[in-house]
Amino acid sequence: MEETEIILSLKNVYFETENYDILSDVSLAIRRDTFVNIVGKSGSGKSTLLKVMSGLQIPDSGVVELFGRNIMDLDYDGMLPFRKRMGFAFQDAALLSNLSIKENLLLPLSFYNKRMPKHEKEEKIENMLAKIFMSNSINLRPAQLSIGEKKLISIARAMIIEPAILFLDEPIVYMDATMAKSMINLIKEYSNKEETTVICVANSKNIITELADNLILIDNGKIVMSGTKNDILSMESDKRPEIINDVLN
Amino acid sequence: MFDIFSYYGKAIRTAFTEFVYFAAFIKVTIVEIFLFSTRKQVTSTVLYRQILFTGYEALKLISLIGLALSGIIIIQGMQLLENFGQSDLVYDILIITITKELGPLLTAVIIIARSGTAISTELGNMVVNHEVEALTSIGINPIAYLVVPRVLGVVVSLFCLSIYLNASGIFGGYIISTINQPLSLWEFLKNLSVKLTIKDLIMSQTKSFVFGFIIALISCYQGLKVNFASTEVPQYTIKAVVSSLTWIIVFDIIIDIFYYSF
Ligand SMILES: Nc1ncnc2c1ncn2[C@@H]1O[C@H](COP(=O)(O)OP(=O)(O)OP(=O)(O)O)[C@@H](O)[C@H]1O
Ligand SMILES: [Mg+2]
Repeated sequence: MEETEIILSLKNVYFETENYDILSDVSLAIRRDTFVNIVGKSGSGKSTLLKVMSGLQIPDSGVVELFGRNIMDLDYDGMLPFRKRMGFAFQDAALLSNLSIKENLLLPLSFYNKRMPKHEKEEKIENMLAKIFMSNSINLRPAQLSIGEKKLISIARAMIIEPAILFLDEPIVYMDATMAKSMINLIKEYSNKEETTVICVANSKNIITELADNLILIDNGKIVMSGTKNDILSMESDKRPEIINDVLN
Repeated sequence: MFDIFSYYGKAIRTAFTEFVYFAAFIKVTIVEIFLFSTRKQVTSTVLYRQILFTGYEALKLISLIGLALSGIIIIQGMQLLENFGQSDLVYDILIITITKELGPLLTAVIIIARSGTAISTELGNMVVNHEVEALTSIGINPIAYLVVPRVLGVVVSLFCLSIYLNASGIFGGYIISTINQPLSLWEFLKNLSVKLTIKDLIMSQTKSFVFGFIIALISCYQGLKVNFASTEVPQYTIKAVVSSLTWIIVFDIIIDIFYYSF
């Protein structure tokens, strides 16, 4: 595979609490137009890593570079041009509970496309909901949805502004097999577009085999292995960390 | 050995940090208030809902309290005053108690109970559910989207409700005083207007304006201070109520001092 430019990198990143390090000495580089999957045990720091990568949490030390620019010293407004090019789907959906599904999707759309006509925005939202078979929920509140459905909407909310980097935190947990399959197809369609990078946290065999180009394995806040999927999958199973064997079986 | 200096040093440092945070919060909020018109695309519904909830839905309660309060004051006052043969003073009593003091203060207390608590619980829960983080990830400034419309909504609502409580208080005063001494509403208002000065009205509305800011800023601030646990939400709500009450009383006294020294 030809090498594209590095779109996101971390250098010696530490994220500490009073007692222990959630992330310690994490360095990585992610290239444009790839699908990176992060694998790790529960509590190993995956969500924290994803938030640090997207500039949602500022680490205690180290360097985070997005689109070639160090973002460690940027303030809220300085981050805006970067936020516009990133979408983030949270582990627990994090939909705004006092807004309807439509208003939730409208939020990023109106924020970034102040001049887009109303009917165009509505059309976009309807198309998006149709793709995930949620058209009937357009006027419901998040509380009226199941958690799997909420996660679908939150992924739609992250995708709707067509970001250059899409961050997904456990996209298919709480979903039945059919729903998960359509989710995987939606993500696949997105990541197959030109110039889109997807960074996904998931301990799912399907996502790894069907979507991932590269894998990052994390344990206890440290990267224990990273490389292309093919390299890691073809490795002998006693040479690689246990977690990846558990996920694949 | 108990090190008194480092002990108080730490307490002072904590209080100071807290103060710095709150001051920074107020500063950002005020800056964002001036930018409101540029952001109204996404924030105007929040403002509208806040006014509906804080202002409109409290009307009934406010009018009931205004009527009842002035009724009680006049009934008690009349008996006293008649003994002195000075039932004219009823207007002064209404102006002093309702317009200048109890009107703004009681409206503020009702708003703390109804809206201050609602704001800090709602924002606290939003933090716990990562909704605030979600706004940030989209690029929407939580202060602009969550705090500014709530502050504006509460200030506008409290300002209007206080006028409303004043009006219903004065009307209640009229009804009760006609029982004793039949009088047309027109005449009652004429007598009242002789005694009621513009200065009184300005003072009354200044209080409401300031109280509105205090309540909304403190409730939003405490709500957003919740970290991750839902058990923190009621704790910060209690803090919001207590410190809102404290600060409106402090500012009530300050405004009174200003009023009487000019
Ligand atoms: N803000 C924080 N302050 C203190 N500790 C935190 C904070 N956020 C997370 N942690 C702790 O950091 C560790 C890693 O959390 P994180 O959510 O990143 O794990 P995870 O790998 O995503 O787990 P899961 O698979 O359960 O989602 C956990 O032990 C968690 O308790
Ligand atoms: Mg997680």
